[in-house]
Amino acid sequence: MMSASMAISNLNEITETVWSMVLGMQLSRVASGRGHLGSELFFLGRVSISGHWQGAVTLWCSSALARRAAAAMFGKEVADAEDGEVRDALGELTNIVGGNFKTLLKGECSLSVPNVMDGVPLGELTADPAKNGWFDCDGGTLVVNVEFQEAAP
Amino acid sequence: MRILVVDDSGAMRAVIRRMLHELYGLATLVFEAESAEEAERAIEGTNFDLVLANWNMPAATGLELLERVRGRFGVRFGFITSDTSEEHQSRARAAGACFVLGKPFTRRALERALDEVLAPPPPASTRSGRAAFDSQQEAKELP
Repeated sequence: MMSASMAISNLNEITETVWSMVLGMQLSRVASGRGHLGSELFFLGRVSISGHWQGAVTLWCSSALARRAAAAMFGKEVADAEDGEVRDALGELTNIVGGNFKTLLKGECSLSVPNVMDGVPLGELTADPAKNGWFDCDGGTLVVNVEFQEAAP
Repeated sequence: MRILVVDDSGAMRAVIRRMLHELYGLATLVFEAESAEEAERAIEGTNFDLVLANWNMPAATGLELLERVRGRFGVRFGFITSDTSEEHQSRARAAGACFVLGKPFTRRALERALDEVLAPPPPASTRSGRAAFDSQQEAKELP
């Protein structure tokens, strides 16, 4: 079984690859920014895993970074990215990260379509550092989180 | 050339459209559908050289779309999906897909996959369908 630390390590690598290949942006791993980001609101993208494994992969993306990601995918200026496009882009990035993580799990399981919310405070992020990976991207913040467990027989 | 891109994400459709135009020029007609249902209606009304579909979509999946249209229209079909598990690849192969390209993908990987499918077929004695499928699997460097 994949340990929590191995899971977040894999998820970190997947996220860096996705950000680079899809957006052409480089992520830098940082220590938890919970302290100085307490009042900032985030876009939250989540995909659920069900079947032999139960869990979810969640991306917390600061508003400015999410808008830059949307602009990159839609091929437009950051200022022109609309809220619906930002949610769409983060949902797709979450789907790609979650889908690649799912392929690492043994046993049959399926992935939900992504669900995206905005205006979410960071206080709702689990405090367990073993489940979170923190990144900086030119001043924007991205946090990836994975929760999963083997389904009861 | 007419290509139909089926993905519930407008962002991913935009990425694929841009890559297709960079690879094959603006004369390539790229159509978009945001669901399997919309794609099925489009396929009924237009002859596409290729359908590029996402797998995991709300309502009907890309695989269900392939199963619905393949027998009726004989359209060439490729998947672009974040889940390239062996289960998905074998189901795609069994349903008649030409390739499964994993997200994220490079422009070069998309070009390789499409060139194999869209090029005139070589003599039957030089290749098998399975070999063609296998040659188009994206060599991903993810962990």
